[in-house]
Amino acid sequence: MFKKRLTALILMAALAASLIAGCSGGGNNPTKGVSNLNNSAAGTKEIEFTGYPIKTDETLSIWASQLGPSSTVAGWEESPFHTGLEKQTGVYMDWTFPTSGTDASQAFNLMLAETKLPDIIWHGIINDAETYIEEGILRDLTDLLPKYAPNYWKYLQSHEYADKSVKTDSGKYYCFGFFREDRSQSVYMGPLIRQDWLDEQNLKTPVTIADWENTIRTFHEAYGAKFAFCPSWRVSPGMAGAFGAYGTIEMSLYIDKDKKVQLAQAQPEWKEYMAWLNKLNREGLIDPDVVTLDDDGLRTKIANNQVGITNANLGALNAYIEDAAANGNGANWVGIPYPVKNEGDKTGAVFTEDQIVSAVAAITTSCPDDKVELALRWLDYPFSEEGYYYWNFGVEGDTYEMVNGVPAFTDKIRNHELGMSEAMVLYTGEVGWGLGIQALQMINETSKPESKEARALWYDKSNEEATSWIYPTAVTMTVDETTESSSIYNAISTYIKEMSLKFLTGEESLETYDAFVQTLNDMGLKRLLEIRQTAYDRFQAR
Amino acid sequence: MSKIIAKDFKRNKVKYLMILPVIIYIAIFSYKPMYGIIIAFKNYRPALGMAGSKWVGFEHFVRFFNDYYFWRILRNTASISALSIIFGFPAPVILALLINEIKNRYFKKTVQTISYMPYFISIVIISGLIKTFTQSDGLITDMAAALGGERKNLLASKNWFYPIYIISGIWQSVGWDSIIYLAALAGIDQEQYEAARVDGAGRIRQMLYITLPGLLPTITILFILRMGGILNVGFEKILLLYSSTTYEVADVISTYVYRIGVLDANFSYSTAIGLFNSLVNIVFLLTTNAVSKKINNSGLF
Repeated sequence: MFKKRLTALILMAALAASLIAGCSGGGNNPTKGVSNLNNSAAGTKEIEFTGYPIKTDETLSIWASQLGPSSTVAGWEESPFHTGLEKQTGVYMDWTFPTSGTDASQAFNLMLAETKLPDIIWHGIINDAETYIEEGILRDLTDLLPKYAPNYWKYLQSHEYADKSVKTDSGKYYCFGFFREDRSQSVYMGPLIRQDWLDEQNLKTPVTIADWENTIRTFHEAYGAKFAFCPSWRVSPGMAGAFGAYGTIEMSLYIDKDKKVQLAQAQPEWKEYMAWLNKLNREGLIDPDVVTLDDDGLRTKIANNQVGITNANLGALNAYIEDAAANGNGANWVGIPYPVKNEGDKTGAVFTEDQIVSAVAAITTSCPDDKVELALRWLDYPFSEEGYYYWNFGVEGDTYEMVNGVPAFTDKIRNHELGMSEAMVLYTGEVGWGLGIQALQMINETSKPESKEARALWYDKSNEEATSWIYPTAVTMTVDETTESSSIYNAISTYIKEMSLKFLTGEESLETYDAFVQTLNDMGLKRLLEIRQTAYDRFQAR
Repeated sequence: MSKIIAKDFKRNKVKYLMILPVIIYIAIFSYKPMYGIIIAFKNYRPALGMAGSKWVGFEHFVRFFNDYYFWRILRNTASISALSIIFGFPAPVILALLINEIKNRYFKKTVQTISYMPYFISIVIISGLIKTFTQSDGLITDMAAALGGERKNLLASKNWFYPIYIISGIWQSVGWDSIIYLAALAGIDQEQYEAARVDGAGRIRQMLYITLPGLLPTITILFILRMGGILNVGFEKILLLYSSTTYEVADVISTYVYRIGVLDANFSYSTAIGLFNSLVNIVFLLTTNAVSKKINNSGLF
């Protein structure tokens, strides 16, 4: 009996083992595209290019984490922008998007593990590009750009910062980026206030830190309202600029006036700023839920008249206005300038994104040599004059008209049954992160007057220093630098977030600030700044 | 040998057929992914594949053990897990015993249904409820304030995190977990109770000397399994409930792996930590099993 059972057991094990062996065979992933490693102009077959649309039967495939079709259509095949793009360029493009709601980076890495890649990938790869080129995933386009992407090349020649951002440290060109026409377009977050309460209390728009305190206190006494914000990157730098600091709760690296990389939280100005927030908190003027507040939580509090002044983005401003209209509490939310310390000062830092974004489109080594030119032509289209208009405004005579030489949206967009913002996603390509150049005119045409005013108050063209503090998106670290700095970075950023909230709530006294900085140094702050500085210097030297 | 195998195969072919789907399932979902463990010892790059990535030996483990927060996340993981076991493990046993004592059939079914209903609510919704109830003007905060507590955001306080986490966990799973004990209770021979009654044992004595010993094998097995997951704590729930003010007590291995490994795409590093996690779990599983075998002569294997 026992023997029989044993035999059965052995048999089962053997069966299982053979199964495993059979399966894991497929796990050995052959390295893809090695034969294409030495890609160059040599193999590229010329097509007869006489302008758009291109006459070709060839098709291209693209994997994109940007420009997903509107959720109101079944897929890109039904999206007017995507299908229209085929008509404009003459190239049939087979789009793949990561499933909406999933993590795009995970989907991207899964896609990379496949043997055959799409011809073009469009994702936040700007910091890994050099490695991807070495690994034989991305094509080096340095020699091909001037020839086959003349519009893009021309743009890069006249925009130094853009040019610097889209090449690697070793000077290789490999991608097409997304650029904002005007600096103000990257500034979309700042202080907001309830104008109706200001009027009721006969207060003027607060300018200095003292004004702010006074306003918050008055709102608290009159309405029981408090000062609230989300303790995330949204409040970075927040109100810090008034004190000459560059961050609030979350770790913030910035470039100082001597082009040195610095940590905002290690500066005495930051301590002063936190002391101010802590004072407000002690007085009971800061919402006690601030430490865990998220966007929705803040919105609820605002709709319930619990907040009179906050720091949020333009999307949130729109939501507050809509909520106020829906519940009829008469709230009138408007943007106000970033605070300053003394009357007449200028703020040291306002929220801004870089002028370029990390998502760029690049051609893979899976794209056969004879299709590279076609891919380049397609990618160059948004930079051509007709492409600029199509990507920003859609089709002339349909979605926009030229009025006095500038494009203006027609009723098809303005009074679309799904609303203007949905219409923009359906018919145009630059509302989110697109390709090519985001037109200022497009932003102005689609903004609510409140948003336009708020942006004008937040961004001051004459105060360039307030936006030049950010650490450029395109700074690239080597693999070794990344490995070494990421453990330091992670430890420090966790510690800062914990401690800054404790400083704010008073759980930790600011008298221990020196010990806090000492701990940062013990964690390897100096080394981190050193690595980031080297990478930044390389970027500057590009 | 092959003759014996062939003979056995012939005789038991239906049994083999029955076991086949299970073997396939285990091979595909449990054994095949194990191949991926090798990336814990490599610098995995998706583009190079598992086989093509560079070997780095124990680098990722060394990095983890030297991590500034290594001891903290280990301590937190162990604390949360230990508290969950101490308070959470006996709860369904007690509930099952109580339900067992209810004589009215309808009342019994109602209590059972109500108690296991929360199990079916998504953890995201549960966490949302907890957040709302414990913020500075939430229902639970109101109650705490009425009893003389300080009015503040309870979830942001490191003293309140464990109670909130453990109690809500018990509330959600106690009914569901008690089902298996109720099933075991139904298997206890009714004649024993009759005999006990004849001997004059009351309800409490019956519970202590018949019901509990009858449940003991089930309790033991579940306890050993539970110990085998000692470092697995409710990842989603912690992720949804914690904030940087409570990292000090709430940051556990899995949330750390999520932040560092998944968000930053350090696949090798997170695999190494996951492997460490599994090793600790196995050690606990085997130890508990051995102890259990020694003490009450019954174990899992």
